[in-house]
Amino acid sequence: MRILFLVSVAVIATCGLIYELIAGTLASYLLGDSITQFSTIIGVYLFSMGIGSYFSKFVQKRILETFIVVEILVGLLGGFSSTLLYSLFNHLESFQFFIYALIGTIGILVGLEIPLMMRILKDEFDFKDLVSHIFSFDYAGALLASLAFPLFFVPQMGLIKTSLFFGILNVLIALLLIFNRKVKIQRTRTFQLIGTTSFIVLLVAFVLGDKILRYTEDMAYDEKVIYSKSTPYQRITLTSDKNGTKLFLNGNLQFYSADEYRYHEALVHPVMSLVANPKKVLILGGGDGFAVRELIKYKTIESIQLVDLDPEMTRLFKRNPQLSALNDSALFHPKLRITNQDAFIWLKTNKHVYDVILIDLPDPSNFSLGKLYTDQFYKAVGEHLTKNGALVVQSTSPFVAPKSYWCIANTLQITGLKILPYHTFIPSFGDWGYLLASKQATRQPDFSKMPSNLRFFSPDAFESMCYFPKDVAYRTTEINRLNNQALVHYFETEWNQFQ
Amino acid sequence: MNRRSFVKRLALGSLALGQLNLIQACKAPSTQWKFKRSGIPMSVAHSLRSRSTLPTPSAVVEHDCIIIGAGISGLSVGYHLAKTGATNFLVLEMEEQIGGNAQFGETNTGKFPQGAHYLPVQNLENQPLLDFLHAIGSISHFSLDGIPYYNEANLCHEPEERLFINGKWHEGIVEALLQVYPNEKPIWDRFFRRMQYFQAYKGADGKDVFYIPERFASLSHDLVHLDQLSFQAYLTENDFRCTSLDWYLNYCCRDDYGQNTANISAFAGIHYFAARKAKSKNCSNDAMLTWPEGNAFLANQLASAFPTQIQCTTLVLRVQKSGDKRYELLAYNWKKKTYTAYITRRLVICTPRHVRARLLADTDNRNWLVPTHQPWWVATVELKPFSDFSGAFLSWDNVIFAHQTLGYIHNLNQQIAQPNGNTLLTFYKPLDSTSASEIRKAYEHQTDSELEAEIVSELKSIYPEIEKYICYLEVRLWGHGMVSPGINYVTNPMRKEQQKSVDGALYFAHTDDAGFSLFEEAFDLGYQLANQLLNTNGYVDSL
Repeated sequence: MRILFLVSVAVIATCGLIYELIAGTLASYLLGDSITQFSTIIGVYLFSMGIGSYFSKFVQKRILETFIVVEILVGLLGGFSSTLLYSLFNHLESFQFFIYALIGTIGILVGLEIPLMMRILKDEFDFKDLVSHIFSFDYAGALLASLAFPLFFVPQMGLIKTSLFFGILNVLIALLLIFNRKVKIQRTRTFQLIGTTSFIVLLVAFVLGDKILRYTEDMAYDEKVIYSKSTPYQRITLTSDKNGTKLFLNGNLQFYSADEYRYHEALVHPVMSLVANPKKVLILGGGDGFAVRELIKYKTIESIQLVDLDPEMTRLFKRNPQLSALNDSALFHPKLRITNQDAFIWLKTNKHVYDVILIDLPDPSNFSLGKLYTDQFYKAVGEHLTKNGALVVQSTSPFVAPKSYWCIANTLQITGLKILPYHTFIPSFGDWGYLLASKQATRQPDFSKMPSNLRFFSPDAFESMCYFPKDVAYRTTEINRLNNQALVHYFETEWNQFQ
Repeated sequence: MNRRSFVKRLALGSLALGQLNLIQACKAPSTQWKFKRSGIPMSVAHSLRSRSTLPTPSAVVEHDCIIIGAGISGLSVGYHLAKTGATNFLVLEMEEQIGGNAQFGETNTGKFPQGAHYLPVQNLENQPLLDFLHAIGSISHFSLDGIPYYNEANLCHEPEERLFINGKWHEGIVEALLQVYPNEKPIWDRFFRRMQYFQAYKGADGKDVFYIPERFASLSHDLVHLDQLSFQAYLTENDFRCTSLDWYLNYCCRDDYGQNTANISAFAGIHYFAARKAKSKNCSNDAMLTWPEGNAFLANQLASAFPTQIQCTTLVLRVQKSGDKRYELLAYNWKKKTYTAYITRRLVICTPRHVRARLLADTDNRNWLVPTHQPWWVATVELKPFSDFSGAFLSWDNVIFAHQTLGYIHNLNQQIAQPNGNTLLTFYKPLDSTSASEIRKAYEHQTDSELEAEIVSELKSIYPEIEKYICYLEVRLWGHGMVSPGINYVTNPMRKEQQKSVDGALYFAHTDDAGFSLFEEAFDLGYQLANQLLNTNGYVDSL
């Protein structure tokens, strides 16, 4: 009897630590920033154990029965913890809250275990022996857990099976107590039934662990979906792999955190260098905040107006800690004003003028988006540009879709703007095109005011960006108009051929 | 596309378009959507018929000029009067909304037409209309030789049209038909060559026989015989018959005239193809101008020149002569439930001819030449995101081969804002299965829920699963749609004769007087009439 109880102490200690490790690992894995995640998880867990220990004094009668119930609950909750965390990560907006709630509950239950155990064994040992035995087994279990978890369990079983395995151990302790004739407890039938059922459920889940793995799509280790939401305007999907995060809108890649600095530095710095002393900037699209991050490197800017259709985009890139870390919390910048409105409608209903306009809209992959690349749209944009101002348009790949790229260029030109085309290589996008445009004849940009802390862009690099080799060289195209949507037709043909 | 949506699409596709024209008197579906029947209640509209006991008016109002009807003709009269600064006129409209056939509705997702919904680019002789389009910004400017540049925002946006045929959407309508029936192309070519010949055909006065508006067309020509036979008979005589062309020409006639080729005169049928010779600098010569709310946009632009001089929900019940060259009207405001007498020296009646005949029953009992008006319904549905059949993209005009409806308009196509997910479609159907009067009789006693059930069943014959996606359904039933130019109407001398003003006090303008229910004709009749009024001695003096 005594040995059984003391082994139980070691097992529950091991299990308790394992659940904490699993939560910490998953949190840092899914949410990033492992130092914060681990330390907050451990804090919450230990604090919850304290709460559990405190409440143990309110258990007056049926201490053994309570202990068994606690074991079964810990087994189920801890056992399924990683399955729950993995599968709900996609669907929960407040995932962080959920993870703390889960770890808190497990912590309270685990906190009940040792005090209850001590009271169960209080008649078996002297007090000094009891404390000594319990804590030595407890700490031994902890050592076992902390060594076995990284060295054996995670590599051999993976997180889902590991937590299920320790859940089974917790329930086994309960079963041993339930089925041991020497243990005197009430309502044995019910306990037998609940205990056995829990055990079977965990065991089945453990055996099917690999299948559960496959069912949760985010288990694809090379690139897992970490967020997915359909808004009225688009489907936003975030995926993550070991090198960074990707954002997809309607399945089209918008950025990859590993090389987005190339895209955004090339988008922002040429146009900023084309205008002497730019003070007011307008961004159409760009709800991810990366363009803003580049802009606020210019201390001379007085105000930035960002117009993005989808409130969900700007909300996500403001509130999600992983994403706001990527854009340096640029969407909180005091000089920034965010308006969630349709860009075309906004242009038609506002009168303000800007020194620099950044047009960072999704590719013209459908007829609705195609309207945001028409002469009518650029005419409306031109009305918001100061006399000496300049704008830049992200304009798809001149390599994959040369007709599309030059169609945008020709459409800008027909509205009376002078253009300066350039392109650069972005590993996750390929050869990517931009168009600078201004009301005045295009000068070469003056890069003297450019911030020095750039990772990619430089004046020399810009010189090569302006060179278009034969395969991407200028083509004559139709003008993209509302009543022909020439660009959408080019875009569809060229990208289909490429894929 | 994931697997589930693929399977759903497959299921939708396999059931597609099997059941044609199922007008079922089944019970109304349990409505999870909002249903609205728009327009003036039929009982109110018909109170003109039973006017045995009319009350005495509570007020008497005198105006220099009273215009009955705020359809395009009446609005055009008002617009051209107001442009010269005239103010002492009043337009009385029985409906709650102006525009006549060009009314509109609106949901949170967007605006939609309840009837007429586009205007082709214009023939160059039609300067008053070109001026109007320029004034409202639909023409941005003119080239030095006077060719218009149209405002692209108002031209029909791409994708313009598609046809559902052989279980799939195809781009274009004629293109799609010829893709499916390539062997019939020679007949089409011959037909279109003949239409080109008529396009250039001149009368004895050297003017085009086919021209819009009629004011610029030849007054004496040798094609009157084409108005004495049906379009169908003409097509048979000339061997312009094959499956695809038959369907297409019936579709065109039903679309513009509400009836198929058998009930339209050959002259009117040819007019459809031969009367347009527009030129423009920045779009094709058969391009369309359109707005999310359809031609209601144009109606409201006309009305904005004299907004306070239109009185809606006012139904004129009786017209009587009052002294020398003066008319007294009794009008009923069915919203306020008040009767008012209007006295005027110039009465302009801009209603269809059957209404004109009833209004003038006491004062002018000549035998009016009244054309047929086909009944229609126009149904707008707002749909939650749904999967369409495969093939060409959702376009502005979506036509279904061999279906009783004319298909539907995608109202958001003309919207520059990005869509919010829902779709707003307006379906059109001329009710031409039997004679117009019989159909009107059948619909007169139909309850709203029966009408709703009929429409839903018709929509389901196109999209069997549509009910799941509907969140709003609005129906407009037109008892008298547009004029159907049948045999011997357009060239009948009585038509023009009966448009002439009477005693310098009674005037008429309505597309019934032109024989073609076109915005251009209504606009031009209004323009001419306004000039006639302004040239009459005393009109300007009396301002």
